[in-house]
Amino acid sequence: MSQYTHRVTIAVPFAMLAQANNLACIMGESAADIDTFRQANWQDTGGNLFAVASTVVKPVFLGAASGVLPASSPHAVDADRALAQQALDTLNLPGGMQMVVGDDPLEALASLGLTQVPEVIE
Amino acid sequence: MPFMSVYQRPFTSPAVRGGVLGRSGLGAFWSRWLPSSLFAAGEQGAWYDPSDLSSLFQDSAGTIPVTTAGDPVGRMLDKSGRGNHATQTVSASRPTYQTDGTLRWLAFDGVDDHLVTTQNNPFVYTDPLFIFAGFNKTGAFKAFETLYGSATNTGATNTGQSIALQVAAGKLSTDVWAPGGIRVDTPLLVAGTPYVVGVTATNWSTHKNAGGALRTNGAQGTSVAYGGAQTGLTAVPAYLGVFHPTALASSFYTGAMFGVIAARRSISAPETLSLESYLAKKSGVTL
Repeated sequence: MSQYTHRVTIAVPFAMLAQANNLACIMGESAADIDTFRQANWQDTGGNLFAVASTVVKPVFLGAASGVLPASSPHAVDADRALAQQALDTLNLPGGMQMVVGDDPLEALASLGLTQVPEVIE
Repeated sequence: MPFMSVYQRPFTSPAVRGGVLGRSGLGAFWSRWLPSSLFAAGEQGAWYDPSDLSSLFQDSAGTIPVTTAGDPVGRMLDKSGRGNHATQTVSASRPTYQTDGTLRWLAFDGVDDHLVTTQNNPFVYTDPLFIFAGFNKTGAFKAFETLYGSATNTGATNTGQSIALQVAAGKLSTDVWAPGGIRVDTPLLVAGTPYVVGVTATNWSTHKNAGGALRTNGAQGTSVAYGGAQTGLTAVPAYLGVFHPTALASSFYTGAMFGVIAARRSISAPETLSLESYLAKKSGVTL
């Protein structure tokens, strides 16, 4: 059985991209995880923009996502822990970063009331 | 070599060229054909085979092997011998390896999963090429959903250069919207159904007007031209599961990918049949 037993789908308000990417780097497995949230191309019914990501995770991730940042792995020594903590402190709070645990990421985003920003070809 | 002459003999038979014997009476023969023969003369291209666990790694550096269903895939080796390996450095953007005990595939989540080739795409604008893939789509088709692509444009502007094998809105197509391509408008592809699809072109720069063909489950479709004019093909990486790293959200593929084989060369009718039969077996498709 894979160690990656859960799937999480995360939506980050546009204003929190830097915080969320530092959190992703510390919680993730690669220095490149600082680029996890790249584009805010999803929106809620109010037109507020979100960047999204979905990934399989190990059980330890869910525990670590409950409030206290884990120690930084070697790949994340350059990550900003203060910014990351700011993101973590807003987890699943109104206006904050939202995370859904479930197998279907598109369904998870729908449950958060998010839809793709309409794509306009110029 | 003697065994080569035995294996090649069926191709000289009109019945086999028509595919009849090739797909029914000579199943054992077809099963021995391998895509490596498409690269035997050093042709540029790539062969991605998720059914081969030895080609899959959890990390992009290729140090942690994929062993079990559910493992993320951060590196998939190119089995063509050309070194066009596909990687993903961002943990959350890695597809996962899956199996039902018979078939094996990469599962793309449709949100951010994709792989990036370590070298630029293997194509030349005015050269022939082919791209084939086996897939089974999950959920509704999105507007620009892409199996394999390489583009300078993100899809948001009507400029740029690109090449792609897309299942956009259920229509098999060859290109990101802007530079133009060909697509099959009917019949639409059906989600939850396995397919082997492909594009062949005698010259990519002119494929929209002549020499381009789209194939679905062993048959050539009726294609129409669309979009603007091709202007070139820039040397940028190729992608599995999207056509550009910051592409439109609707371009991320959702579903199973059983394999992708692409090369900068023409492909003969017998080779096409062999390739489709090979991918069909990998994809659970009955041709």
